[in-house]
Amino acid sequence: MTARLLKALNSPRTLDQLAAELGVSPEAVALMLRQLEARGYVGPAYDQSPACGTACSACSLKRLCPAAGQATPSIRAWRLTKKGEAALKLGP
Amino acid sequence: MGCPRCDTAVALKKPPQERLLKVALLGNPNTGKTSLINALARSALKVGNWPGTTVERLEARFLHGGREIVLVDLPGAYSLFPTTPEEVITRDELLKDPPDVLLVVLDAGNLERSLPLALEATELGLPMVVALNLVDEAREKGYALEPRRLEAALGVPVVPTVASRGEGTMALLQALLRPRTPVPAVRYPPAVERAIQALEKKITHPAARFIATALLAGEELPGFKAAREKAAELQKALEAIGVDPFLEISGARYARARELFEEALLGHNPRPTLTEKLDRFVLHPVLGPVLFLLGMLLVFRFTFLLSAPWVDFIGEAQAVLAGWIAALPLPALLGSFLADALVAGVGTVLAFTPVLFFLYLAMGFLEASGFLARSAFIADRLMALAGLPGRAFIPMVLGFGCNVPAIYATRTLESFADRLRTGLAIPFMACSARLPVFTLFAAVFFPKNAATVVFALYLIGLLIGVLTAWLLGRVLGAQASSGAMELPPYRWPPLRVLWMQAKVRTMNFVEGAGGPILIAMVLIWALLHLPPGPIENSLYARVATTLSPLFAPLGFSDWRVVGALIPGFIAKEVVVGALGVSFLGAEPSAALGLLAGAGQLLSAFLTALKETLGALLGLFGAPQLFAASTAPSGLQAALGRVLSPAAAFGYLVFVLLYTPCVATLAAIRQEFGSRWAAISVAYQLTVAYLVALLAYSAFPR
Repeated sequence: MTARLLKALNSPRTLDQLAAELGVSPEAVALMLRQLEARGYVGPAYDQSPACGTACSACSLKRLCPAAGQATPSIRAWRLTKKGEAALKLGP
Repeated sequence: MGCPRCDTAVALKKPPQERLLKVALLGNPNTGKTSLINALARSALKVGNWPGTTVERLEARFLHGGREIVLVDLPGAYSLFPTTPEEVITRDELLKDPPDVLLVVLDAGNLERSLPLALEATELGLPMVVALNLVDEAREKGYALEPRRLEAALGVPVVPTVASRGEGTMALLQALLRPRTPVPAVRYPPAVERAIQALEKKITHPAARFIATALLAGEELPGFKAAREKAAELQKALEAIGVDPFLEISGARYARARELFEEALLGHNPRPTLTEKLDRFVLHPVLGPVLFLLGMLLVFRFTFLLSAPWVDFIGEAQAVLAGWIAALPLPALLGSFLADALVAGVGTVLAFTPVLFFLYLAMGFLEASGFLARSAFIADRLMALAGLPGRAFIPMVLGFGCNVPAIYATRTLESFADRLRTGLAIPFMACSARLPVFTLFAAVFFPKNAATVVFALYLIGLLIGVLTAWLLGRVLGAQASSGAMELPPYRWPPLRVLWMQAKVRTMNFVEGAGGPILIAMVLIWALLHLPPGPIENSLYARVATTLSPLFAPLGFSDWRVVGALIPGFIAKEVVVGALGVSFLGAEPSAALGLLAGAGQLLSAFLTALKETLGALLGLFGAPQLFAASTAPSGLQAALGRVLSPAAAFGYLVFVLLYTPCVATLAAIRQEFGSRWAAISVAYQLTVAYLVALLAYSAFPR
């Protein structure tokens, strides 16, 4: 289940998108993300973009981001961290 | 063969049915554990803290079926692989002091999310019972569940309950006397399972399987050195074949949780719940913030209107005690020490307790009813400007009433960094104690623009507070909070538990902050009264005179004006009084007879009761924003002679921004430690000085 979630996060996803893809409740996905974020496998998508909140037009996530164009993004979109990417590659 | 009656161990051991049965409640936050304890025990609830923490510990003892049962509410947890301090406490308590029975409380309306924790619990090797709570909410959400299927899959009794209405509690009590030790319900991939079994052999503990999975997943567990070394070896071996143990272990649990949920689910017919219907208004982009502000205003008014009569009563009790002391044949200095240092010190501590108690009641209600999570949701965007979560808005707003409970209200924030940043921003919020100073000075120096000046001071405080939170976030490198926000359903909380929680939280303040406040009061008394004689010759006057040149760049250097800032460190209410004493002289307490004093106390008590009832009725009336100033006109005239309007404005800004009171400082120390308390004082003094300098220099002349 967790590996499937990491695979789904190959490109950034919101909580509801992940729940729909995995066929589980958004609450269960939130719980998984909470544990994976605390252990450094996943992170909020916008953290990786230094221009986030200031230059939405250049942002690759703007279609996904409900806060696009606003001064401070309150988006809950997730993506893999370096550790998450490495764990995904590690798979048998 | 030994004589059984001679075996002390056997002789001393009570028969099992007579021993205390310790039952620990384990469950996600907001699953109704507190309501369940309230419903099961009905009485003898005890609220305290987990050792060495400020996390609350609810406990209840009662008799059932001839057994004494003690219920212990573990801090809410989503997993025993912790991500919060509360989850660490829960895991450690279960491993260090395992209960006789583990009562796992599941949220029937959120079953899929509750099950991973129950599955982890099956690995603890403890006798277990499951309460499938909130089945009414599950029905409302359209879920049809079959508890017997869950019972068969987990191998332990599963009892459906609605704790808030006491439904299912008798069946649950019976089940607690017949718990079953489950067989671990999760099977891991073969390579991981082999590693777990190899590790289990190194661990001598009833929860060996859970400990083995935790160590293999890389969790930090105190102790188990040999097993940890073995786990590191096994981890490396698994990684070499492309297996990340944490992902495999957690993945297997979530997958099994999904299977169990599907097994227990007979059908799902989603329909809008009352919570969803209410949320259409409460979370509405326009209506939501209006309702939120009205709600905050109500909390504010509830706290301060209901506590004011009792704060006055404590003041009256202080005056009566001082009067009784004055009537005793004591040397003047000793009488003054008892009345002005000890009685005043204890009075200052106690004066905060009604405010704290009513605020905790209101906050407890907001938190348990589900409104607090929604206020946080609404304020989220605004607070994001300071890099803080929405929940931080509530303590900040409360700071306008009183900084002390506001500091304690930061406990509702999850991360230490957020708590600290909010906690250090709160002292800049202009609390109600600063208002008498503002109104006194504004009336003398800015008679035509008094309201504007006072409003500007509130804004300056708010701005400096938000800047402080933002700056501290940059310095600490704190990440903006990003976790998904949970909105629990609306619920009516058990009022008895709220009352007890408010009482314990208030007592925590008295125990934690009472000592420092008392010491500070004695120090200030010594400054004012030693050596005996007129105030001009006191240590207070000497210290104030020494400090005066430091404040000359801010426009005020009169020792009496500077001196009032010293007791202002104890509480801002005293600034006006200190100015009065040093400009106009002190009035000694009048001697009071025993009966006259008792009569005065009784009358003050009845007045407080009457005013509390009046305040309850006036809760929804129009707010009274500005209290009338009670300053004597003689003092106003004296101040007008020694200060210019620019210097008065600089003075007000300094009063606004320097350490609000010793109680706030004690609260900061209790919540964040002595180091941060010291840093906050230095920071507040520096900011107060620099901003006051700027205000004095930029003031239009």
